[in-house]
Amino acid sequence: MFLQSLKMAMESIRANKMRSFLTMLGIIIGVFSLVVLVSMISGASGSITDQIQSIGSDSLTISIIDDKGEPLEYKDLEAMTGLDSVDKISPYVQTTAVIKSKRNSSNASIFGVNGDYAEISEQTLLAGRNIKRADYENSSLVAIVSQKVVHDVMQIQDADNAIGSEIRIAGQPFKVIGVLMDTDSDTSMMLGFGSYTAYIPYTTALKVGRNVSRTVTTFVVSASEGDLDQAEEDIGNLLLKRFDNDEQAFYIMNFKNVMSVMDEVSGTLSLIMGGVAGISLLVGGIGIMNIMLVSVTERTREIGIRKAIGATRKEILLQFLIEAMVISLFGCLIGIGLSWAALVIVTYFYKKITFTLVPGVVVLATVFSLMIGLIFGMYPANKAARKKPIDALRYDG
Amino acid sequence: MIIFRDVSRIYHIGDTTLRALDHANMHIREGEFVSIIGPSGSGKSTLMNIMGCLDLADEGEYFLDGQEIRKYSEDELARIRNRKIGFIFQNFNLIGRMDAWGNVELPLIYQRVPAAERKARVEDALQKVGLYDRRHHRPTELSGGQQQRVAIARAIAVKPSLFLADEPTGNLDSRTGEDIMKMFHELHEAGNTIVLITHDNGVAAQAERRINIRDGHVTEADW
Repeated sequence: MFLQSLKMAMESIRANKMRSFLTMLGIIIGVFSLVVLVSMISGASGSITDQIQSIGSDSLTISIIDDKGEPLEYKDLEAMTGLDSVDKISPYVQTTAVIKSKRNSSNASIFGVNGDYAEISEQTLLAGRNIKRADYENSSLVAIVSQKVVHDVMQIQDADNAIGSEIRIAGQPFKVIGVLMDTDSDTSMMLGFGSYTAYIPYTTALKVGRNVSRTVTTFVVSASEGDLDQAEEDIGNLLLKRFDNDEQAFYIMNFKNVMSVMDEVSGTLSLIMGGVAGISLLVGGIGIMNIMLVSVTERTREIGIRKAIGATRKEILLQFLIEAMVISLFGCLIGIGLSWAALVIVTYFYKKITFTLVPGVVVLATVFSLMIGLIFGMYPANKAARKKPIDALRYDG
Repeated sequence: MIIFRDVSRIYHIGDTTLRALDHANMHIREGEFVSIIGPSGSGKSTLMNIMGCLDLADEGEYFLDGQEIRKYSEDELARIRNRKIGFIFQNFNLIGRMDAWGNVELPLIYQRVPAAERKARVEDALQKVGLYDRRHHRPTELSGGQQQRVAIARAIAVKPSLFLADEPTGNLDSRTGEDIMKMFHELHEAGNTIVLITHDNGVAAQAERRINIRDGHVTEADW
């Protein structure tokens, strides 16, 4: 009987193509907005998460805000590597300076770090070598520069050819010892990577830079066996002890926390957007109910005929209910198809992020559409089923 | 086969009480071809509704095929109509969206006849009325006479105990009407029970027996 009802529903939908489509439109738009919004939020947050990961989500960045007159020194950092949970540690200072070659010059971000920094922040060298301990201890005038510096400032195409060249940073002659692979992402741009950047020994930065603090105010840490939370706790305890239990004296940024906040934000965003889209689905459902009510009245005679030749209430109910659900489900499938197309198109034109259908929301939309068909189809279907055959047969529609 | 015993159907319209059917008594034997004739407003439609199990009597007893039609539920009545009654209406009452085949098949679907048997029965019924070639035509693509033949095929496919026809030629020209009447004679000769409700003397006269109805009274039941 179910199959027969399905067949009847399809017949009736086919008989009124335009109307059926218009009825579906509400569901199509609802499903489309639901699936596209949630998928895009998920795609965007996934991409941001990837970017955070690419610039080192496995590290802590610690900033000293108030040193209570007892600033950290480099030897204090070295002492911290004694903690079981801490693997590598590097001081970190940032300033801006002009990078100049014979051909061109540009403002650039200059980072003062030690030899461990590349590993902590998971940087990849395109050519050359890292900062060595000797560079650090001698405050050598050596620099690792970004590809952009090589291309635009030095105007050298091949990174290998840049190694050993001389550039001037803040007027001082530096030897290029390495070239960094650019991470081509928005976040790293935002944080200054991938643009005009140079990494020099921390001690050198202290000498060269104008606005650089003599003591260590910021350092980055990588954790042993990736247990960032343990490292955060250990360093936190250590710094608390040092700074008179003042939690405001320092700040530990854990990218893991940043990411979990990101997840939370995108989850909330998805929920809000999904809710709004859900409301439009609901409106679509009311549209279905409307049309089904009209349809039931229009088909009063048909209902009478069916009842006269032996249809029971249940069979009439099932027929109209399935019709409502099929309309709803069709609308949903079209909506999902359009969403898929829209995501493909957006991805094509906005190459930086790959948007894909989120399976969860597709399932959700389908279930929700079926429910809407069921709920909003129930009233008209019931109205149809309750018609008295004699009255229905007499009806002139 | 069909027995009416003191059957009354009473309508209350405001303060007035109308006995659309007043203590009707009637007996129709199996295989008979009976016409019920009366002017409009005589209670014909009420009689037909009760006989066709579309409506229930308020008083009296009605037996169809040895089974008393009592205060059954709407769905039970639907089942009885489905299996025992082959309706043929004045305005054909075909479903416009469905082709001839679909219309004839419909009662069998509600009977849950298996697909293979259904196909055979629909094919047979359409062949009997000579419309097998037009099985994929919709009612709007058929003439009035053809539509009525589809309706007859729909009744034939059910193999009902009773063919119940309500002014079957009322919407047809006389020539087509005669064709349809011929079809009823054939059905009768094949042993079917036929009750034909009409206000047309000429049509009524073609039956084996006439029953008159006037003001809710079955006045001439010559049996």
